[in-house]
Amino acid sequence: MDTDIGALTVIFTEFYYWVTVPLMFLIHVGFCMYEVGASRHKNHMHTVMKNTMLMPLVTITFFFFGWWIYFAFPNGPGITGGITQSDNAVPWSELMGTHLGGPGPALESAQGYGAELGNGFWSRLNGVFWAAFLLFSWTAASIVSGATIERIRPTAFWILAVVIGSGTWIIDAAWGWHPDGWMVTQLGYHDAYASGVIHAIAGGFALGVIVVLGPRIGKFAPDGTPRNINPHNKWLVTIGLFLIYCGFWGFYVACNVPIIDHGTLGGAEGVVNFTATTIYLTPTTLSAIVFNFLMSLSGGLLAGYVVSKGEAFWTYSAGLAGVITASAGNDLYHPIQAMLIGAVGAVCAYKLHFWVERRFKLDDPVGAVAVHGYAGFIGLVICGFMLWGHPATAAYHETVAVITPWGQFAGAIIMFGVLGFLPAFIVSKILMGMGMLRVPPAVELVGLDMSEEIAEEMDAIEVSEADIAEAKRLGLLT
Amino acid sequence: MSTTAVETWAGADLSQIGPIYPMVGTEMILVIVGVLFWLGFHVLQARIERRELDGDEAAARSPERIKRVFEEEARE
Repeated sequence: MDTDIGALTVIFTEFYYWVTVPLMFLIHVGFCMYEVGASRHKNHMHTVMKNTMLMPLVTITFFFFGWWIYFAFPNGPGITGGITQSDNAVPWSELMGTHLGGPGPALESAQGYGAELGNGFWSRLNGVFWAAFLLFSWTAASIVSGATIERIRPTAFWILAVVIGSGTWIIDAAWGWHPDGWMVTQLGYHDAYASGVIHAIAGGFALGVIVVLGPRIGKFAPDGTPRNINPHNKWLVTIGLFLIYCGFWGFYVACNVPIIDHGTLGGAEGVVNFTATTIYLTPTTLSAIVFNFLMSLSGGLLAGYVVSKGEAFWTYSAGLAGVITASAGNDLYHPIQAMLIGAVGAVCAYKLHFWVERRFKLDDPVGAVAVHGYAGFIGLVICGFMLWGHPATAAYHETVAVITPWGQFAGAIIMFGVLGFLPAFIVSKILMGMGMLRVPPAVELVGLDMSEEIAEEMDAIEVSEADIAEAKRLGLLT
Repeated sequence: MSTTAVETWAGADLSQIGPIYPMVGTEMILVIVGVLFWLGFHVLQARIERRELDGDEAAARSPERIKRVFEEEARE
């Protein structure tokens, strides 16, 4: 902060990440709208509260331990090394609060990713960078929320939200979305805009929950044929998905580092090359991701319209699936490649959703497993073929790991299966065993908002009786 | 007297100023209080939910009410 260009770089970066946060808030407005639209009237308030309260719970737990996990676990721990000391991210760190960058009482011996970069730099970026990651955490938990509507108990869902939002997803980020993560340096894993680290893991996690949770009452006929429980309000569903598209702009931008000198990362010596990079510190441009976001969205929408025969919910969802499929390599693809990959992902997600529903009798009311999980998985594998041989690691690494189909496939298995499905299945089984996972059948039938509706009826009767009494006092009624 | 490390901004060299939130040094206590606040929420929320579910189940035993719910559902 002691030179004009240094201060401008820091404050620009601080502002850049800050802007991504309100943009990503739109994702959650969208998720709330679309889940409420997809649920029946008798479950509206339960649905919106379930999604709303994940926000404070994931926020505080991400402050307590999620942020530290990201910096402490790039080596596994136990895969390529131990826990990385990360004094910048422990909740009792001075850098986890208002800090001007000067010396503080407890920072003299501080070590860690940010602390090494200098307090002046990190003290101003820690909060905005934390918040950008936190909004990814909300997204991961919110994706799971949609798959569980109309039958999960909030107690259980909020525990599961903390498990993925401040636990498993940030472990996967440390492994596969950190420039020094072991999946990046050993497998050549590449996932620039989170096909796997957010979407495949959240889809896998949702699958793990709904396998244990079971379908909504009435979803399947006695012979196993699925029945359509249609969205109560398709307008709300589609506008909700539209808002998620809007939030994706912040999501994509937050996945980049906006300005950094490539020379300091192992580029040509003595040459100053300022650039934007991916989260792996590999060069890209904002133009690249704008091209590819819009083209993959378009590919998904066009293919989704055709495959769903113009059905609104699935056309919008296919747009999302298109972006998610192309996201792993959207830092590098040609826009037309992004469009085609988006189209392939959208068709696969649509077909797989209905095949899995029929074959395994799984009830995913919003198609979250397909749109996020299957599309994310497929996107990772496609990326392995499309970017085969491209360096996955930044230039400062002595050994260059390259992107390969097998590295991406292994990464997809880890994201969807190991860190997604498996922990969700285990925690859900425990919650089910404790009788905490699912609401009683009678409550599911009468609706999860019944207590509120009865209370509102009582309020209305009380006010009506007061009105009648007043009308009688004024002689308007006898 | 100030609860923060700053008593005046006059002549301050910002490069020599670190944390400026109140009561620097109490971070660990704040973390413990914060974690208890978080866990307390889960305990209290589970109790609230249990009472609500009991109320909902009681309502479901009213044939008139459940019939009304199903009629509304059919109209959606």
